[in-house]
Amino acid sequence: MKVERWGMHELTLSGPADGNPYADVELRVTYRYRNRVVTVDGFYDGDGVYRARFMPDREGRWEYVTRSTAPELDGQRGSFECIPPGPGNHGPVGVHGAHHFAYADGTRYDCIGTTCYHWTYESKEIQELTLASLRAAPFDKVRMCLLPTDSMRPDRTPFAGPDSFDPAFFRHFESRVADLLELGIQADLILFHPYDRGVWGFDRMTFEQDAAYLKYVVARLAAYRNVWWSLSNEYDFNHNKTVADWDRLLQLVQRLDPYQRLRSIHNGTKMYEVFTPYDFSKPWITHQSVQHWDGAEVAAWRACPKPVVIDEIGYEGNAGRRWGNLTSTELVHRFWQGMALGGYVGHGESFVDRETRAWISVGGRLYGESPERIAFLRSIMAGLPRRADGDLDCVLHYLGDRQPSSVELALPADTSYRFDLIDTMAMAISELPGRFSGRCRIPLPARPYLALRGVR
Amino acid sequence: MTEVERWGLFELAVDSVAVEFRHESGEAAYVESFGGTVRFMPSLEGEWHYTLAGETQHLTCTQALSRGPVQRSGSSLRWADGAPYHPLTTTWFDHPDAPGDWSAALGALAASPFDRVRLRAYPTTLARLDQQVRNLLAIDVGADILVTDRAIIRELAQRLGAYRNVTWCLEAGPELRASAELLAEYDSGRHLISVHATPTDVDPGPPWVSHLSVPLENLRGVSALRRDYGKPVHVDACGYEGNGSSPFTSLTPQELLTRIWEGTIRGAHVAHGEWYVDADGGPWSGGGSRPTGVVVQRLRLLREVLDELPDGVEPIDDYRDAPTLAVPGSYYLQYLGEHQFPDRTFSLPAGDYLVEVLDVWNHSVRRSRETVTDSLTVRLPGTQYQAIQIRRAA
Repeated sequence: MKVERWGMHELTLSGPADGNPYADVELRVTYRYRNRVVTVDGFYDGDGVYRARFMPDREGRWEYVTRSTAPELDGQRGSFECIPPGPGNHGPVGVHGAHHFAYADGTRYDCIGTTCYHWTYESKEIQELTLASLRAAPFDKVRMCLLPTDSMRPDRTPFAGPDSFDPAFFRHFESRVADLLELGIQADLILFHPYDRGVWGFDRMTFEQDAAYLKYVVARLAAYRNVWWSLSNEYDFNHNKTVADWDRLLQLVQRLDPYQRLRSIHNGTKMYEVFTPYDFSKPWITHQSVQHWDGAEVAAWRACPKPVVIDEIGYEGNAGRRWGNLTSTELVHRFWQGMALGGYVGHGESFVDRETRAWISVGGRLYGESPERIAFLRSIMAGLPRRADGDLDCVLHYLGDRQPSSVELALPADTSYRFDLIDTMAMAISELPGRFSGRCRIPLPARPYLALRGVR
Repeated sequence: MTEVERWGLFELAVDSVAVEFRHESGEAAYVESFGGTVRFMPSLEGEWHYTLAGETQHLTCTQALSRGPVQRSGSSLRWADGAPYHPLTTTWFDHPDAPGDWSAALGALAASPFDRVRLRAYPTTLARLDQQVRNLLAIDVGADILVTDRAIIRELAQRLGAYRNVTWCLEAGPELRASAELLAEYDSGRHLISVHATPTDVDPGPPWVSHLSVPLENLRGVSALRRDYGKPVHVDACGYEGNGSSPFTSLTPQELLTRIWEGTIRGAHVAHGEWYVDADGGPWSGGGSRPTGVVVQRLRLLREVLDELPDGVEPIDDYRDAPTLAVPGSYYLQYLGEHQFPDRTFSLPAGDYLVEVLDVWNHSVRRSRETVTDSLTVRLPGTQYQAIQIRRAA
């Protein structure tokens, strides 16, 4: 048997089907390369079938042995050969330097995501449409929920009962994570959210229920190399849990996850007024998953040595709420503000009167004008020279919504720069005449949404 | 027939770069050679085989003569045979260019209450370190090896991986995950791997870090570390008893002793260090000949207490104003630190108890037997550095 590096080895075993196997049976599998061992939790997949999934990170021979409370699942041994990664497989994304990301093979990861909270709960047609839309869009990450909201009435949820799970739900959900992987898109999985309001009760489970759910989710999904963990959306809107509870759940996911996928927790806001982010300096947090309306705040947040990802900065659309009725121009402007300062910004769209419902909720079709401009921004960011730590090694000066006729820059006196003028909305680049160094004045066409790119 | 005891040292002259030892169960170890030798510590009794020059060789692993290496079990450390592990560690970092008097130090260690010592590995001193760890193995003292340079990881694993008394401690630096995984890959003894760093500098949560090795001066922080990471906690550096020129190396003996007790009763393993600049042979923790301070003698009482701790003892939260280790219902050990309590009251199941008031600083013990209906008030001398040990009478 052969498995690609950063691919997935899946072990399938037959075991007890009686009682409640989700709670009664422990299965762990220890994988070994030379002397290094990695232990993963297995999981019950229904009908007497148990599985364990593992992502090898070294080429060569891996051996495994099972340990289980059920004798028929215990002490099973085997091996496989880990072969070089195939085309497009750059490995999982991790943090690079203090404020950036890279794939395991060193390739830069740009982190321009979008949000489709419950796209996997939609009809097959809408799900396929979502994938087609994503294929054509500039996004490399999707934020998506496992648990339904209070207003949804799905046939299946992750839970089949208070202490058992629905394998069919997960098999479908995983197939969609795999579809995203195929598209080179990260799946930022939102494990809890406050939009339950007690209807399902998933927002107010006991710690033991939360822990069993997280263990099951991590056992099933951690081996997909595109998975990220977002412990909760708008954690501070859930009044059934305290920050200490979230600490405990984040720590638990850290203990369960053999690979240490990227892990954060996303705050809510009362737009323009209330902002209570989780303390991202806590060691079990890998990056800052922020909701905030102002990309200019990135500079302050970079004081914490972890990547800043504004996963929600407001959405393009025409919804009846402030967070969902930004113009394309306003959203793109906020992107440029945040990204020019060394942060990352996520997209969302909520047009409520179109053929398909709001993209942020269901996926479907994109109607806005921002994705095209975000694609342009992505191409600009990808082409910039960078230092080893991922920070820019050039000038990227975004002029925002002002219309200056010139700007004064303080450049190194001993280095000569040439500048391009970037029209972020018209998506046009023009080279400015001349060379600049030291304290210099650069003439501008006096209209908003321009950026200057200066390279040596 | 070649024989070696479980967790013993098997040495073999080879021409090959690496040998894979395979046990009849399917378990295996990958051992690289250095200088024409492989060293292997079999982890299981029974038949092992390996291939040399195309020929299969056999090795019989017999019953253990030791408790084996130290391993992690949840948030505790245990010997490989399952026995609880309660080390007392000291620090002996000599300078690569000015080796200390090792034979004097080794003798001092053998006569001390310590059963684990922190040593530093430098690229230029690996042969010396190898011999030191072997000496320590012979007197059953653990060696925590501080790895200062990523480039020596492979040779360290080749040389020391088969010594059962080794644990690894990486210095904080870039590519820490890669270093820890590299060490795990080449260390055929699969010893514990930690990183010496505060959690805010290096997250100790990932699975490639087996336990915490933290510098920590306020030992009350141990409880939060145990809660947050669910891993064993070694406090490697809480300050040195001595008269050095920095705040860290000039702790009074009272202060170091109380830090060690405070951290220990909160569930950590706290290392001792000593820095008297005028000690004969230099400061002990800088590679000196012998510890000359006060704390080393005072720790004999802690050594006795640790040796008699019942299995399953854990810090409990019931007494919020004083750290307490307990097996609820049968054993309690509470430490009162710098506070001068007149007495302490415990809620206990009805029964007879053996009560000890330990004067940690003066190394004296007051014993009594008490019959309890639901609570017990223990009178105290009203001085600092008192501990109370309560055992249910058989």
